[in-house]
Amino acid sequence: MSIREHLRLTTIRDTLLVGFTALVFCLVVAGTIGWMAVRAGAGDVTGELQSVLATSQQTSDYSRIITREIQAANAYMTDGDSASLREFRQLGHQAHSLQHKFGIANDASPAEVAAIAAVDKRLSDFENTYALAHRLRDMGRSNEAAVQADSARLVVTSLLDDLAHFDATKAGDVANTTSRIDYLARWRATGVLGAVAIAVLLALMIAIRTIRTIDTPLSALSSHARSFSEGNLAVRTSSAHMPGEFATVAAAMNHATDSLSRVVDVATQTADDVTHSAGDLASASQQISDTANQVSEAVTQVSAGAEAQVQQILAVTRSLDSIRDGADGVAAGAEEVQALAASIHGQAAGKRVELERTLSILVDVRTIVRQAAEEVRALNATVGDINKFVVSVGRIADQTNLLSLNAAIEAARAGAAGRGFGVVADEIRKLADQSRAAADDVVDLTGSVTSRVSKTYSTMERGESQVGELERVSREIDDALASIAAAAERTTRAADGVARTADDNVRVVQQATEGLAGVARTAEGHAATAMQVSASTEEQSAACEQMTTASAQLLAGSTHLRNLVGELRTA
Amino acid sequence: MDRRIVFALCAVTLSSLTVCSRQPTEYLIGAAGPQTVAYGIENQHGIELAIDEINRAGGINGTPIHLLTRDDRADGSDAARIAGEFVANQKVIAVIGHAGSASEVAAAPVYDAGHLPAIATTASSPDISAISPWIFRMIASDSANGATLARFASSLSSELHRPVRVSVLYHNDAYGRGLTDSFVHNFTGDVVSLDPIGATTNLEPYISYFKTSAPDIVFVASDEDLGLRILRQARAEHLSAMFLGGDGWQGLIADSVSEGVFVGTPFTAQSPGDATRKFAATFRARYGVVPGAQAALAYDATRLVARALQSGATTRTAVRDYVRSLSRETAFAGLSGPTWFAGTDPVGTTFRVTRVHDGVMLPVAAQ
Repeated sequence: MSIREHLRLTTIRDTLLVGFTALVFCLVVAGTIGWMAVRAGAGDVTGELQSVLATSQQTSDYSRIITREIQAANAYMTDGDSASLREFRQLGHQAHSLQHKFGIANDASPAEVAAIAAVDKRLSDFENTYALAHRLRDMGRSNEAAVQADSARLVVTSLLDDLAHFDATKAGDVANTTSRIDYLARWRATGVLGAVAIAVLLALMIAIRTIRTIDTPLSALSSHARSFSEGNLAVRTSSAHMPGEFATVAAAMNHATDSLSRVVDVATQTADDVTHSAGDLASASQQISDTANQVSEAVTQVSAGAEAQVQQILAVTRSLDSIRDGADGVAAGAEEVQALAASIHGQAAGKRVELERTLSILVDVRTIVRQAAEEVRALNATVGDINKFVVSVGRIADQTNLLSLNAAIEAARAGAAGRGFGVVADEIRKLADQSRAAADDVVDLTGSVTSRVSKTYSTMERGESQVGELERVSREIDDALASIAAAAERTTRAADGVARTADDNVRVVQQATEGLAGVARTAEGHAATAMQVSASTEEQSAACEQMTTASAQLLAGSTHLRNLVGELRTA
Repeated sequence: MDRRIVFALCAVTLSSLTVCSRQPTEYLIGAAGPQTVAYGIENQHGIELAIDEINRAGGINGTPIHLLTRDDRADGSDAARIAGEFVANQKVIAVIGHAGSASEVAAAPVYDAGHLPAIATTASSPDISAISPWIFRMIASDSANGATLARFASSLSSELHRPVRVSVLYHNDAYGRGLTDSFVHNFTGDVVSLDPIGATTNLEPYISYFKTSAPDIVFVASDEDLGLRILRQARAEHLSAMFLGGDGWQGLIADSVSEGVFVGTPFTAQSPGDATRKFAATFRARYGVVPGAQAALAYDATRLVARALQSGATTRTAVRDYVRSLSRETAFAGLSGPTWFAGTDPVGTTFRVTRVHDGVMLPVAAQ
């Protein structure tokens, strides 16, 4: 089994797709390796440079601090200035802190850590020695101090040596890293070159293979096409051992040749049939044309009928409109009646209220009159009592008069002695006469009062009966008004019913009018349609005439086709 | 590619191999400290006592722990070199060390790069705080301890009725400088003098100087060897000033010259508690001396690693992750108090000032 079959590369498309995918993959790999190599290289170099820079910066700081520390230590030895001693301590602190930073740096190798520890130990030695020299100097033991300072200077020399050793270690590390980067860069470059070479080889293979795959089937197909163009429909091309696309083209060409052969056979037969049919068609179309003309005339008549129908419907519609107007008038009249009845009802109700008020006043008046009559009757009784009293006064006056007469007689009997008494008796008689006259006056007066009271009482009784009569009449009026109001209400309801019926009538007439308008529209539509049918029939007639002409042309064409098909070879 | 990713892949492969294969036949732990000075020896004794106790009790599920001990001579360059050796030896699963700050600061970058967990004992320099996620320590930072010591020194003014006058001598290494910085920063009296010294410095001039300047207290930030030399010189010259030392002075209390000296410590055998009493008794029976903080913290660090292994950790990363995962709830019960870690530094442990009497450290009540 070949690679092509194994991978199912049976078409040029698949071959090219797989080939170019592999090519692009190789190029992407090469590009990625190159890009990564450049990036990693740049990263390594940058990182290394930064590390070297930082280290050299720290180393230089470290050296500078130690140098200044040595100077401060020496300065205190010569001038004993406490500021120098303080500086010595501070710088020592800084130097140890820096050493500590070196010591815990993550990228420090064990060798570096050891080298830094050694430097720090030496720095401590130097500080211890100088500190002792300073205390000896403070205590005035100058000779011993000088010896200590000398030994401290020896330590300084060793310290500087250690620093140099540390720098050398660092430098060695840098050199190692550089050679490692160089090695990596070379390895990556080789990788890139290899990937590019594979890509080029693959491209070459794909190109050769594709050309060979296309060339052979293309020649076979072009010779087939040439025969085909010369009108030879007997040629066929075998599609075996061809790539998918060419196999498809060959099969399509074979199929097309087959189809065409069949078409030629059918066409020959059809041309004959068409010649016959064309003659039949011409006569048929002439008949259709005639019939169409008759239809057209009939339709014109239908159209005229529809017009007349429309006119009649319009007349009916107008009548209905006048009916509707009448119904509208009835409705309006009913509304007026309704309004009038409502107004009567309202006025009757108003009058009833007023009458009610009048009645209550009349009742009050009757009551008052009755009370007054009672009072007057009581007064009449009192006048009787007065008369009795006055009669007794009259009797007393009469007796008194009799007495005075007796007295005057007695006085006359007594003579002179009784003269005075006679005067008194006379006076008493006069008084009795006056009393009698006064009592008579009172009797006259009470008589006149009694007659007036009696007259008043009878007048009052007459007034009361008249008030009663008035009340009765008022009640009758009230009843009459109530029945008027009820009648007005019934009238309102009846008028309302009339108005509603009138409205309904209007609506019904309206609907009838609209229905008739619809019928009129439909009739108009029918008329228009009939006109269109008439026009169509005329057009149809014209088309039939064209068809007749076309049938004649078809007949000529089919005869020509028959002659052409006869020239092709199908076997 | 990042070295870290490569390492992570290797770690994953290794751990899967380990899981597939049987349990390791032994656990190897690195131990680093100065093997010839007293505090370094005490440190080593603490580690060895812990290892012996663990192995005698059946090891880690039957597998013994072995020690790979190296002498860093308290020197940074030696410490860095030894750290490199431990990292390269794939059998080393964790390191107990280093004992001094100078060594730890120098070695930390190596452990960090090699991804090997290292638990320092008494390396208390502030430089070590958060130096690497692979470094832990059992003692609090000097910045905390120095502040405690400074508060103690400053408080003496209430007895003197004037500001306290202090002279400072500091070992010119990471430990001495770190503790001194913190002390001076927190001290509220007068600093009369502040001088760096080394292992070979002639101390006589300083003692003579103190006799004339007469400070109330001499604060010394140094290891015990230097401390002993200073105290002997002071006794020889009859210097009357009080001496105050940091945790670096743990080991000199056995010497009679240290009588009455004040020492700051995360541990004293005179503290109450059964664990302390049992540890002190066992240690004394075996080595003939009372254990100091150095021994206690080394003993704790070793037992902490053993506990990580006991929990199923079989890789360096697993040991580191276990130590890091400790919290208040799951704290390791150490002799210096319940211990867990905020980054590098321990949380929960105590640091206090004691006074040396008859070779033991007695807690000072008022501070």
